[in-house]
Amino acid sequence: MMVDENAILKKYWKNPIAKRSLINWREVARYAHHLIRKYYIAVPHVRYPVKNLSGGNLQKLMLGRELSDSPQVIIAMHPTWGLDVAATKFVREQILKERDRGASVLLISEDIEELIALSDRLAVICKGEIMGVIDKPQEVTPEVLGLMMAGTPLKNIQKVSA
Amino acid sequence: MEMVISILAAAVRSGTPILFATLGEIIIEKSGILNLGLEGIMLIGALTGFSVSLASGNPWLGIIAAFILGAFITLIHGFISITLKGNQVVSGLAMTIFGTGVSSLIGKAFIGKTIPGLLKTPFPVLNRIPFIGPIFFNHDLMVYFSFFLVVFLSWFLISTRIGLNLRAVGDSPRAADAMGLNVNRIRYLAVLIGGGIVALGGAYLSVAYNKMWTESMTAGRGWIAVALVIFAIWNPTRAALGAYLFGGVEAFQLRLQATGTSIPTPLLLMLPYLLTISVLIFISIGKGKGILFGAPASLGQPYFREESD
Amino acid sequence: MSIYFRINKRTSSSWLLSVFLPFISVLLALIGGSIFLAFLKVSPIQAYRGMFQTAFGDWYGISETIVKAIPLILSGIAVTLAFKATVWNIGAAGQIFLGALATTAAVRYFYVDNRGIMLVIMFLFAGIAGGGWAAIAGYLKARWNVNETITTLMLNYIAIHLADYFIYGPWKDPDSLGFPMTAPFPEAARLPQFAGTRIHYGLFIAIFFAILFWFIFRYTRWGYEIRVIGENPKAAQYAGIYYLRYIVLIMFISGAIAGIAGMGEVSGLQGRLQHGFTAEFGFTAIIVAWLARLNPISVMLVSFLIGALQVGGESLQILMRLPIASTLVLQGLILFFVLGGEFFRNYRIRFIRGDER
Repeated sequence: MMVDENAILKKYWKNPIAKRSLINWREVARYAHHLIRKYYIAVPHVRYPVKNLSGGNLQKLMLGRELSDSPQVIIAMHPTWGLDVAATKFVREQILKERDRGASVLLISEDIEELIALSDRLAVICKGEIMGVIDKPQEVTPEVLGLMMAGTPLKNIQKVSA
Repeated sequence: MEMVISILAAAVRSGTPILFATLGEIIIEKSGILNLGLEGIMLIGALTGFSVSLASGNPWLGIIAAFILGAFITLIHGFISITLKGNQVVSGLAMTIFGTGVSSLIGKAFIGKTIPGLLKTPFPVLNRIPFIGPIFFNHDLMVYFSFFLVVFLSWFLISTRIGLNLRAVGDSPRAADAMGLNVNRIRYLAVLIGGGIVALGGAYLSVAYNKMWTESMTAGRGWIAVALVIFAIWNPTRAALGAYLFGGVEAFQLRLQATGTSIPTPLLLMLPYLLTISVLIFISIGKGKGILFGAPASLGQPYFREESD
Repeated sequence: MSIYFRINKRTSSSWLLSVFLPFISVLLALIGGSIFLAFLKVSPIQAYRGMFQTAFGDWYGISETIVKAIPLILSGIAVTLAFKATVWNIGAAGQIFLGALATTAAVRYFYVDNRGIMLVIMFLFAGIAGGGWAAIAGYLKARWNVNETITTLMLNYIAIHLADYFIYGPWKDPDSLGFPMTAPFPEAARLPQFAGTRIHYGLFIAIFFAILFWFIFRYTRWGYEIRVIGENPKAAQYAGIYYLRYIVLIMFISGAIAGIAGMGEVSGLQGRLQHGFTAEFGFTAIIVAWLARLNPISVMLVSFLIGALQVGGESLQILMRLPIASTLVLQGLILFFVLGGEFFRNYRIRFIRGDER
């Protein structure tokens, strides 16, 4: 699949990309260029095979594809997995930008630093059960999170420290 | 009783060419290479086996020649699949087309000739076991060789280091490469040996079974073998079971024709192909929609060693 | 000092290579084929010259080449459609047989003495029969993930025997002096031919389908969906494309086009169904589709070239007494060289001197 074809995966049936079953490839190219500029995707041209993209650029393309329609709810699962520092920073900024715009973001990750830095509220799940919800993640210590991840409910930890 | 034994013995005989082809393909597919060219390789094996037997007067020279030429012909598919990373489905089809063409072009001179071929050699002692003896141990030496091959491959694939390496290359070439295995070399070896064994199936057909050469004489047996590999879930013992099942249908169908049934011949001739489809459906339902157990995980995918520069 | 070479994926496809690759492949295949001809003590130059003259030497040769190209275009498009969706329909031959059988059935049981109406009936029968035959494999794939490569192939063999059953049995012409063939079709059931040639109006159907599918692949949502399914079924599912339902549909349409090729052969060319009706070109269609890089417009061009090869091959049979299957050698070789050549389209080879490593 080429970059432009991949970019329209979720909207290839919508106006103005498609009109009555016909795809307007000029419009597709315009849209792909728009994504490339907005999300700093490094790619030689829009007819470039997606499979040859680097991990960071692929992630940016997918991010752009999903975010460009201003979704109400975003579920981001390991969004920076395997990315380099610059790409990681960019992806995190975009997620925060979406939050500021008013979207609800559910961030699922195992990277504690990423979770603390990005989250407004943080729930820890152990063996399928929520161990507690932290309202100010920036003020909690990694030790508390570690205990919760190992299966100690939040209220038990608070009792001990109080 | 007599009748049952004779049909079952015929099932083993007519299942043998399919069995060789299936075993050869199992070796090739275990290395991760999908080879759909069986029909073509078998035909080349059949013609080589027949022509060399005819010229030399020795059927074994024919069979050995078929193995060698089959191995080298399959190398074309290996080169396209392994080194050139081409599409393995299409390359296999090309092999079938090519093999059909070459064998009928060169085989034209051999049509209508017959050879004494491989003779029946009852297996000493074992052939006197009641029931089992006449069914399994009253054939030619190639049939006994196919038994040996089934046992040997079952042991080889599971219990030897080389067998383990072969499976590793077929399941995860990247991991195998990281372990220090030479992925390409192992795949080439599998293609060579497997291709040779496939060609033995063709040679059996012309040297032992029919004792003559006719154009396109494999009549779809190569494709049935491709299906049997799936039926056998890449297991040599199950491959034997499947091959004899097909042999049985063929023997039964010939017997029916000979007795002068009212069922039209073309409808009888459909039976093996209908059976193939039924068997495939059966096995696919059984395995659900997931990946078939035993299937090499990287089957049909070329391996490209990523190098950063 | 030694020289190493390093292989990298190409970042852009070479335009020049894609144009010349088919021609180089054909050329190399002809050279390869000459080895086999020499082996049979036949002069390759003489053989190829004979082939070329038969296929292009006069108007009759060219018209025969077009006659061969018609079913190749149709079945080539059938294969192209399936391969684009990575559905390995290699059963075009069987679908052609079913199309031919259904056409004959239409003539036998639903005959209307009006050419327009009759042709429409036969067209529908052939399309539905070929499509239905292929859809069996499509359904089995969608329902239980049964390998379609093998089922379509097995259906080929079944179709051949099914046709024989009718030709030798209930449909055999009592006036044929024992030859296995049906009675000749009445005039209203014949696709018209151009005066003085054997080129029939199936040519228009073939060209129509080629242009139609070129347009569908390039400009429509369906074309896009087929491409997505073919390249990445997971992405297709993510985009909301019903993969399983699509496979049955693609198989049906692919088989229907092949079936119509079968109708063209019996109604346009032979005027009856007879034993020895071959659907060899169902396999050749795979070569056509692959050489044409799954582009319907190129399918027309390639079909003409392969058609010429077949007409030439027939001259080998007559002039040099070589079996008709000889052209399969060339076809197989062409396919090998095209596949090999694709390596050079996808990868760039760089030679590096040892001291640079």
